[in-house]
Amino acid sequence: MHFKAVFYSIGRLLQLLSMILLIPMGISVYDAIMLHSARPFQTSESLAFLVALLISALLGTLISILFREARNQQGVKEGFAIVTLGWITMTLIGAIPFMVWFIEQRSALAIGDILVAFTDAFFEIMSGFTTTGSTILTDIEVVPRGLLFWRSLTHWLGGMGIITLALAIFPAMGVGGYQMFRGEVPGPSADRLSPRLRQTSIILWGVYLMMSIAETILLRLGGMSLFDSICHTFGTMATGGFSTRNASVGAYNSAYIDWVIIVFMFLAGTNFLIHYRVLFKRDWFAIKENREFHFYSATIVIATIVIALLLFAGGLPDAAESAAHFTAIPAETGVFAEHVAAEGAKVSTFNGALRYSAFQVVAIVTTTGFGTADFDIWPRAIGLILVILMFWGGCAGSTGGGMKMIRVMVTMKAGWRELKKITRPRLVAPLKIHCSPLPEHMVSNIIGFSILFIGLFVICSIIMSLFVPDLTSAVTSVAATIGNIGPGLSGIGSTQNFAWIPTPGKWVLILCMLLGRLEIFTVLVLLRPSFWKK
Amino acid sequence: MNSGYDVSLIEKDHDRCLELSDKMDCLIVEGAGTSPRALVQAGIADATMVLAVTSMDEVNIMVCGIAAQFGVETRIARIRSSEFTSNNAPISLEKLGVTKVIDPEHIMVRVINQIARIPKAMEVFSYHGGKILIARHIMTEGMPLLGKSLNDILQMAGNDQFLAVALKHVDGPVRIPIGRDILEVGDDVTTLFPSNYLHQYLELLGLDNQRISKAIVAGNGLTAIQLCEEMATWIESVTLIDWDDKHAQQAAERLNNVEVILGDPTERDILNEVNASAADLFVGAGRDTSHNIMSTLLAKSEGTERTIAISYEPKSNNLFRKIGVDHVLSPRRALAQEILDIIHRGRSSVELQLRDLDLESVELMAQAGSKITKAPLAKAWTQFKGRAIVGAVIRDGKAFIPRGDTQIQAADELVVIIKPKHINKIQSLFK
Repeated sequence: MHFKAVFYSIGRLLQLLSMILLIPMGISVYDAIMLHSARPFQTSESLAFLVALLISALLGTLISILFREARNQQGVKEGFAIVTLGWITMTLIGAIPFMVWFIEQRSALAIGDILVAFTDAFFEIMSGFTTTGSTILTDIEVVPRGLLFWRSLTHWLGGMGIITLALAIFPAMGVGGYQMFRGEVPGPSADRLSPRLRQTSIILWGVYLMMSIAETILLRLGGMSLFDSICHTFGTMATGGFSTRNASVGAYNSAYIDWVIIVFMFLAGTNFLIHYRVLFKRDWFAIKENREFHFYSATIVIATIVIALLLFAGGLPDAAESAAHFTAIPAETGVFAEHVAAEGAKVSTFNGALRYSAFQVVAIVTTTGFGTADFDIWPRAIGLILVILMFWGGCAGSTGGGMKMIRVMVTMKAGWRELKKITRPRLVAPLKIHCSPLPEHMVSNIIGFSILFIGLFVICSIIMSLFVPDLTSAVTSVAATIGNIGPGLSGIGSTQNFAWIPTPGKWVLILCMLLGRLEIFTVLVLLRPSFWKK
Repeated sequence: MNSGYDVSLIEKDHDRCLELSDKMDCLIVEGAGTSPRALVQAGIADATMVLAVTSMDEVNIMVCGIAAQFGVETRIARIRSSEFTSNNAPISLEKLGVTKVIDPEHIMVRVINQIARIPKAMEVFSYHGGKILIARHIMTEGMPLLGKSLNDILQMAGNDQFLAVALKHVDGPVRIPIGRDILEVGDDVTTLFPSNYLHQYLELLGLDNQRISKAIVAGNGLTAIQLCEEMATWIESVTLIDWDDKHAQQAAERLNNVEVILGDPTERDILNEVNASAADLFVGAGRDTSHNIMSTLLAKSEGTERTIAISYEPKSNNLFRKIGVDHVLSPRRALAQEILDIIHRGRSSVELQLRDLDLESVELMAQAGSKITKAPLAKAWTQFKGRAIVGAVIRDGKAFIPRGDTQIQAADELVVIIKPKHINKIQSLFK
């Protein structure tokens, strides 16, 4: 293991982070001057941004100069180490502004309280970078705009991948960068779009940027403020889910905005290779031949229709019944009944049922996690369908999380193949996706991934149930974080948040988010002792 | 050579050269096919045609390319890879110098599919790239044609696109039938029709509901794979049995909607596993003749309806048929046929023998000013009535069955069914 090479790359990442931090700092400074008529760095959050920026700039420059001669020495192992350690370092520095704000808000000066503030800030930023969208903020609308913007920006950076961005910006990182690229890009295989990795990264980020601009414009036209449009675009394109409103996208109560976000969530959950081929090469065949995309679209369409019909035909369970399973956070009966009535009215027409069903299904399948309705009080069967869809996730090569559609397909097909082989032991049947055979090593890699994913989910659920008394909350909190979705059911349902989860539980979930975003192998490989030996 | 060409042959292997020069009356040059020296020595500068039929695609293309520089008119290459020959291939073979592609595997696939598409046929021939079919059937109980005259049958069909070209009653001699002949059980009837009337032909015989629904192919070569690929497009269930581990894997990767089984088709266990007793068709398409014969015979004994075997020993084909294989096909013979077809098209004749019948079918082209073009067919043909029959006319690429008043034009191609002893005489009509 060439630690120097690892440090060098992390140094470059920190330099990149410091440049990026200029944007939220700018907003903070602007707000300090315009809203509080203060001097630039008089508000605590603008000062916190400055501190974070200086730390990352100085530290980054220092170690990248110190370990400069090691810059071409990365191999397979170093690639994985850079990705995992890089993401943790980014989160550490990125959490500083939130930590300062939490300490100030809670006037937490005791060492224990500072640790809690650190945990919360780290959770929030990790949730941002990993595009999970789980939040510990109870009242989002009181948070300063600089911090809200930073939170949403971490989504956008993490969605396409900050290392991919670094590869696009720093030519020197392209050497041996494929391991890093592979470690960060979602899906079982990372395709190069052009012979040079740097070019591939530029293409991916270019497509991402273009689509983001398009969505921002469309949201702005729908009456959202520019700030909210940009933040929600970050949340959508990265399939993150952070909103600037307590009621998430539901706050705007606009069918237009809902549908724009549905469409862009859907696009963000699609393989960016398809976008590139359709947008730049006019190659419509890319859509026709991609079986994963068909599977993804079919899943969404079928789930949307089933859930819309269930909602429209069955309506919502009555308030008393719903309140019964709210063991974690009991709501006041009167307020709760009103809430149930309002939610019921949303889905009382078929159009309404379709709109809210489509939004929720796409938000869950793409692992975005935005909300326009409280699906926690929808019939329990729907809740269960949505939780199961959390595992499936978006397509490979998208910004979505979860296991990825292709892995679900391959795992299902492999199971079906074994069933056929029972009666035909001598059958030769390579696994095929759209008529092209998948190499056996890839099939076993995918099945191995699926087993690890489910295994980790089970283990983490058991650990979480030690800290969280309500079983639904415990289990869905793990499903929602390891799949990078955001909200779960019950205590962490779409109208709730993660603030009440005990600190050790939060750290378990933080680990889940990182494992989910970097697709398990990249992180777990570092835990094997032999990885660190020479 | 029998068609009157001067042939030069280039062969790499020294011993083969010696062997061939003893057997054949042609110029044999020892050397590589792509060697300019060898080609010049073989007389490429004066050649009208080059045939590149080595087992390597690249070499064959290269030879055609060289021949193109010497201005050889017809340049035929044997090409097996569909990467070159498929319709959406990214490069043009023509630009590389190839004017015509032949592909032995592909020919076998076509011929076997043709047989498979016509249930119960004893023999199937095709002309003009498959546009005209000749099928031979034995009349059995329950066929709607029994007791009807050929004229009645044409009326039943509602068109005149079917022509019985040979008829043999049980224990009777073979002859060219006339309209008054009545079909009986046991009659051996050979019929010619344009291939787009295949479905109607099967309807007439009452065989249209007997489409194959389960086929088994046993084989370890490219032919077997291509055959499965083609069959899967129209047969519901196709199974490939392959005994070579690596090859079976490759086949399974390439084939869709085909079940691939790793095993030896000469073992009963395997034939049971693939349920050979319920199969409509079994094809022994491996690279070893005796293995093919063995597996087809076993399948037949298990209860497979119809069997086809590929044989690389044409001399024994009749024996194989006698011991119970329904159809025996030889790739080399089919390849030779195809090459002759290309060479002769529009010049002389292609001959096909109808097995056990003393008849041949010949393809002839009417030259400008020849006797046959001077009067309607009924009149021009009088001297051959009962000895030969014009089965089909191909004009401007389209095939049709002529009638008595059809006027033959120059450049028409005619498929003629004839007793072999009259062949020389009939050519005078066309010159």
